[in-house]
Amino acid sequence: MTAYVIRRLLQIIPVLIVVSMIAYGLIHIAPGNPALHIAGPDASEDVIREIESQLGLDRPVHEQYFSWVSRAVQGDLGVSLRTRVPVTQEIFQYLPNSLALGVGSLVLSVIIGVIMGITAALKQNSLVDNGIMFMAVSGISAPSFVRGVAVMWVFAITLGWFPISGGPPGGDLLSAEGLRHMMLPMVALSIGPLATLGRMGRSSMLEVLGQDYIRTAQAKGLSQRVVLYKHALRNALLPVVTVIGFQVGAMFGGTIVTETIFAWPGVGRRIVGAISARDFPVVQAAVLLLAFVFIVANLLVDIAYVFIDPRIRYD
Amino acid sequence: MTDTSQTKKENQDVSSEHWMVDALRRMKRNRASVVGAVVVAVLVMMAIFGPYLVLHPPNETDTPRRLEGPSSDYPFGTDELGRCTFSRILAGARISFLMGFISVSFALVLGTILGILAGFYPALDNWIMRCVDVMMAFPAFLLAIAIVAALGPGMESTMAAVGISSVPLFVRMTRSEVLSYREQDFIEATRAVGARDARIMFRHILPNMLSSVVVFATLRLSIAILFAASLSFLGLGAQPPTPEWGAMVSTAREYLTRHPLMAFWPSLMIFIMVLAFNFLGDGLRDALDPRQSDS
Repeated sequence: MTAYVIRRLLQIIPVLIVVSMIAYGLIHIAPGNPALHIAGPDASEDVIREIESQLGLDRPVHEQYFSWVSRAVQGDLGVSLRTRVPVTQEIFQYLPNSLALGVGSLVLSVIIGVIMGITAALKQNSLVDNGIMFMAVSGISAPSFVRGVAVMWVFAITLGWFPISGGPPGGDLLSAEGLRHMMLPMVALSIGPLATLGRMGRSSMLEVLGQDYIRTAQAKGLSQRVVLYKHALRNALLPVVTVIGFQVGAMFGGTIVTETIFAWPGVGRRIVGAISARDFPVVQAAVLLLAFVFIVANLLVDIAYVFIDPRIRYD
Repeated sequence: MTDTSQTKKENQDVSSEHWMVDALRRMKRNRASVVGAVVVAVLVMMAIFGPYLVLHPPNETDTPRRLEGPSSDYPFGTDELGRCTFSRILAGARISFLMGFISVSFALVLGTILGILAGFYPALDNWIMRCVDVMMAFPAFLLAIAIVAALGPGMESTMAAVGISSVPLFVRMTRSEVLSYREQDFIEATRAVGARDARIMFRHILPNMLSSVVVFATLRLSIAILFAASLSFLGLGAQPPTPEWGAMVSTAREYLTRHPLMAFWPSLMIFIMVLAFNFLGDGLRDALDPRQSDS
């Protein structure tokens, strides 16, 4: 087990190196002079020259990359071209908000999704089952921006239960007001994974209920409750964990869109703003950071499998 | 993937009928997928003929009648500049499909070529698949956003971004198909009569896997349309005044309190489109691979 975790950790290193190359290389993908691209068509020679020297664009590409990486490792990702604030400082100001939103939505969707899926499976082909599955298919089919706008319209505008948008007042996430502001983006973001998990939970539970060992458990006179919760549920949850892993990736896109809709001060909203403003140091840093979070999240899911399913052996 | 193609080949061998006829019959039994297919067909019609059926030019403004509800002049109401929402929705179908179609075609061509090369030449395999792994190390939407960031916002860069971010999936899919064909007798035979590699790859292997590649591309189309709409919503894709559905929802957001109907129509269209594609996709998957069907 320890050997497996260490091996997986070591595997991350080459991936991170290439990911950092791509993140840095973004500035050079577009044809033409990147400084001109950043400054815009009407910029004067001086401005372009200044951007070039500030970003080190006047040096050879590999030199630029190595100096960027060596500074990045020391926690220096440059200065935002627009706000003139160090990028690291900006990102770390936004990151906790994004993580809180992402993790909160994931937890919410796992709990509700699994309950919905199991309920639907136990009442197969009933009105409840059809209702839940209809909601699940609708949830999957609505893109995150449609979900976000719909949630905002229902709960903030029509019912007025929650603030329309904005971050936690005073940056205090854990205050009552902070949670109230996070509620709607969290609900909007969790609808997609919730629907997927519900569908998955249902089909997985139905498959398990058809197995011989369930019939054996019932035949030997165990109560329905013991059969369901001790024999069926635990086995039905395994494929659900696999799907949670896939959902983490899907949630990245959702987070970027949802944060933008609700003006939630997270990394996703910052990156969208930075792209429109051609603020490359921020874009590079945010891409690098988000890819890193994604790689680590996938690693955690892989390791979690080993704990949950003793049949999996990685050595 | 290998399993899928093997089943198909078995079907081909066993039944005298073409496997597609068989698949079509299975699909017709699934009511949801038939509904999905019909709705997709209607949307394609909209994309082709929509721009000729509009009541008003999609960008024509009628300022005195801005933010109006439905009327006989404007069946879906008007937007913040008094433009006809109904006409913009109709015109938008073409833009959405075009963006999805171009980006998927790009991914299809590039991904299939790379996938065939990777499957055919073990020496290239390692290089190509490592590149694919690195691209898969990014969440797909983040990769698309990163590419738009590099190329600058706009419709062309959106299509390039969505296309490039789906290339790895096509490479993986075609590569596994090629691997399943490479060692088969008919390829051996072709090689024995002296056919060159390029001929084997593109005249013998490609036609065999074309149907699965096309089905896969159809399923990716809805995701490509969704990505493109999401990027436009974020202001990185189609730019105003283009009547693109995602961009329309984005603008309508500012008027959500006063005129929620403006956001409703484009949201509904995107929802219906993805729902129809999902139904169609589920049906296609079950029809082509009956063993994988949901319980």
